[in-house]
Amino acid sequence: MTQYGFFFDQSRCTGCRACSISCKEWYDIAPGPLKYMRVYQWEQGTFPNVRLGLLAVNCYHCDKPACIDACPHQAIFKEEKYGAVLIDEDRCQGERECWEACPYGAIVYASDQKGEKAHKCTMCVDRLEAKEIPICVHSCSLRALDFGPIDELRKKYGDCNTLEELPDGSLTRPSAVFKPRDEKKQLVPWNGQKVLELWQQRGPFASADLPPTFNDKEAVVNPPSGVRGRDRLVLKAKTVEELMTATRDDE
Amino acid sequence: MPTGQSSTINSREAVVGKLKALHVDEEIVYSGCVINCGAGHCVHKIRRKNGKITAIEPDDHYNRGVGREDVVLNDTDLMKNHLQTRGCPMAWVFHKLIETPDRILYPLKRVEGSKRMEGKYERISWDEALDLVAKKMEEAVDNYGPYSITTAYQPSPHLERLFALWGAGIEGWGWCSKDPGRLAGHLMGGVPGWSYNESSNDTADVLLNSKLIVLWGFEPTINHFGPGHQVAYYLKMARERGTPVICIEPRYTVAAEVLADQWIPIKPGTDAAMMLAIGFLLMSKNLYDREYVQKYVDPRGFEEWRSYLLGEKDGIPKTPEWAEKICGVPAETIRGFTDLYARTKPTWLWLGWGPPRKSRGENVVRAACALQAITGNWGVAGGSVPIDMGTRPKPARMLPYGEIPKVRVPKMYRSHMWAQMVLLKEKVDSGEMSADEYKAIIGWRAPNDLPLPTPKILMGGGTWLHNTRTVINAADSTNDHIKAAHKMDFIIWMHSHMSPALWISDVILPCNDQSLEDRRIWGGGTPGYGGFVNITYVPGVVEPPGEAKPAHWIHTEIARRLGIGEVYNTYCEEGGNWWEGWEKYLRNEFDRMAEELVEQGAKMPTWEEFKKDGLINVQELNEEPFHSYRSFIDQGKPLRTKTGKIELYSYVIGDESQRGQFHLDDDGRIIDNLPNDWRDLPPIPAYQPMYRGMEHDDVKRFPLFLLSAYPRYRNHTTFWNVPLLRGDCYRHAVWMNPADAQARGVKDGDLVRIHNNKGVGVIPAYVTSRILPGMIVIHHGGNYEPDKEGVDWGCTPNIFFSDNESPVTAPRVSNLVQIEKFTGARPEA
Repeated sequence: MTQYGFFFDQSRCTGCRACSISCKEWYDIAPGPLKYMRVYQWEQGTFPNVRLGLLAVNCYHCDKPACIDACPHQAIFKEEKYGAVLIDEDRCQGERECWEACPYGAIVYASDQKGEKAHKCTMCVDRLEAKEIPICVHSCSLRALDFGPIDELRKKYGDCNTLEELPDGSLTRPSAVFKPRDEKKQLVPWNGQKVLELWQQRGPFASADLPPTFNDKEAVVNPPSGVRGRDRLVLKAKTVEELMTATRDDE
Repeated sequence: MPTGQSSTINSREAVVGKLKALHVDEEIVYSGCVINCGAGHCVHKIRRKNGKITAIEPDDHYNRGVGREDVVLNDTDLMKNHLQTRGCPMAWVFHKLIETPDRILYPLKRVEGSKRMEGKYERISWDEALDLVAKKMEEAVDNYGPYSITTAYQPSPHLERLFALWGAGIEGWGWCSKDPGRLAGHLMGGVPGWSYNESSNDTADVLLNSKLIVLWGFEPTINHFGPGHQVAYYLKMARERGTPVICIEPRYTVAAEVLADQWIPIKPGTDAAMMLAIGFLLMSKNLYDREYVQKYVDPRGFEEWRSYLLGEKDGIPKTPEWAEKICGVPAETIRGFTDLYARTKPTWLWLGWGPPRKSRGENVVRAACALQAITGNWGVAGGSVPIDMGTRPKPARMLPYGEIPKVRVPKMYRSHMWAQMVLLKEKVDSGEMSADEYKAIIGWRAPNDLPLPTPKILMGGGTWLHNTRTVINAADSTNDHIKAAHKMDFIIWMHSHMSPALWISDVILPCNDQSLEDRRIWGGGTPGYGGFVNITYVPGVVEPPGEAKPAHWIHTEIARRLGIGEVYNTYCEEGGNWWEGWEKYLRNEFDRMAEELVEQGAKMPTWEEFKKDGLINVQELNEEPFHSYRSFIDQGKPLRTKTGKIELYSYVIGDESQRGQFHLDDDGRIIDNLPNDWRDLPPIPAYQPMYRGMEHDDVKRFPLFLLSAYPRYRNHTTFWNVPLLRGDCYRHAVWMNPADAQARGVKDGDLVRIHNNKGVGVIPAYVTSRILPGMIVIHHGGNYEPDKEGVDWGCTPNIFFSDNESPVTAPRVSNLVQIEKFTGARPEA
């Protein structure tokens, strides 16, 4: 068996969801929470130190798949040609033990109902049989994804098998290599507090009696929790609503 | 349950078999993608079975089976675009547009006795519809003269040709996004009118030659400057190679996160102030490129601008301290940026189309171009003229069945001023407004001796289908457009999908989808917005549903009934087979393009090969990355400006005797973007506060500055009705800072009611620290979905805009609004 896997370059991912969309339309999946590729965008920090977290997560067809061990009906198996981890729907009884076990949130369901069958990334095994690459990899706008025998990927891209936001690779040994996002560089001097001061004033063309742009600086730099929406990564959503909120953006 | 080897194999067969069964017995059809994104044209690999599309895959003309292409490519490949033309996120769901519930299947007529905007239509036959349209057009001209038929926005090429050959109708001129740029190109570089002969450079040039990249209000990870997001791909590779990237932008965008080393937030609409301060520093510290300026920049213009920047005339030196109070960028940052900019050559300073799309936007582009001129970045490899990306010249695009007529109907209004053209006419008729004032406001570009328009018929549509550019939501002030529409005697619109924006119409004619149901050659002529272009074939993959027809056919049939059918369409005979005639036309166009390309050294496929394969990569001919102004910089050929050099001072605008004059291009056509009344536009790039910006008095009523930005998952309103995008991928929401949200008791996800003096809308809130307080963003292209009181529940941002603008520039995508938390329920339909 040649284990195939994915390379994900987080530094290139713009969260455009081409991967997720092309996968769904390839498999004729209805709109909704059956997203084999879950793409996340969330914000980190507040002004003046705001960053954007971006991540596209499918299934990493692990070397030590927690989902296979967890399933009480042996509905999940690792096939012998590409090392793809596949779910046999006919055996699945919707117990959700696989979802519990998978640290990456790879298992998705069409609804919150009991008995709903488990689904996940298939490694596009049907496409592989036709000598095509997974459609997520092929459609990626900035070529953040690559695919091939995992040994070759490791030779090409190194052996980093996790990212800051992802589970430690030693848990399930994902067939994946990662490159983390870029750091920011201050090429020119910039003082965020000064920016806030300037931003608060409406400037020399404004009449003296106009209210400032904002009153309370604290509310800008320290918003209370619960006011903002996507301010954390939710890799494992407990409900359909949580999943949809976590894998949608406002662009 | 045993888990022996055999049961696993059986499972594999079953599971893999099921997946494979989704795609058996399919044909593969390659097609270019047709939508108004100006992209270098993407190729879709489409799977079809039993006449239906079963999947759309990415292009595989190059690097088949390769995911991360740059790993297997060299710089020559990147320059020649040996890349899969991967579509944008929308590419994968084009087929979901074909059979939506709102697809218009038959010609429709508004039900007798019903009112416009009620949406009550009945089906009629094509003959009845077309006869009625022609009759109404002729009646209008008989009763009110030739200037009684109008369109909202510019006419489509079909309509333009129809009006021109018939001899009646009026045109709107001007383009929403690029007019400040066109003006700058003309005034500073002598590039007239609609000419695209001189643009800037292509993306390979940026990747391989730029030493500093400045993205000024430019967001290529969201905007479709294609193919797909290829510009973002190249910029990312540039950063990976060590090129520093700075993003100057009111919001912390995805580009700021992924493409840039550093984000510099700036107050919306104040870009020119920072640019002037940079200019001040370059001048006062002698950091500009003396040698370049001496050779290539008109000395009078240079002196005039220097004098202005130093404050010699108005007593206000445009120092960083002056600028920081206006734009919110600290003086220290402006100094540091200027230092980096001045010593790093060449710099690709790129201006998105957002910053100039404000009133006073003319100043922004001219200032950016002026900075690039005095730093020696015009017309050099890796530099830029921040207006339009470009490619090597390509054969002209497919014309509508013949040459564009030289004599066209008069351009009486700026495209977006259509509604004001109608509404203000009443004031002229009643004596409240003078004809001259009216003409100045609406952007008159017709000979002065012509009578004023008498708009009675509104017609249009048929381009960029699927809800793009519908009458209301692609233009300013939705409500003003509805008011104006109500004043029309008759309204005819062509479209593919129904929406409330069409409910002003009296007759609606169903169009086929341009990408999947029509046939054409695509990509000749103007460069794609991203400086990549190729030529693709669009074969028509599926039959249109119902009785939908190509827009070409519709216009041809109208032309026949007006008695000009033969001259209008010289290929498709009356009563003949439409597609046979159409094939003749396409074949002619192909042969013409092939001749030009072969002359340039291209290896052309045959017509049959091209139809099957669908792609001609014109960049294959590139021996080096493309940048423009070569004949000027390298060969000393003067620009077509008065002095032959780059002009920072406009001799037209600086000359009062030119006010009111027309300027004609080499073909005798009016250069519409050269203002014949420029009002108070200065002859040099200056700072003039925008109309209704964050410092306007009306913040007392409407304290939040609304900026409209371009969406990622739509092209205008196209794809609004595709749930695999809206709902699955994104939410149409208003971006608000937590301070503004908190002050209103709003948290993320709450519905908010937004209003100003132009309209009311309801939309959920996206509360985020990526935007600063005092400003909000609603993405362009929200659908117009009014309730009985006219409250827009799709929340097109245009419901809040006004039609006031600067003398020439694109309409503003901004205004002042107030927001409050919405409590209550959506009224019953």
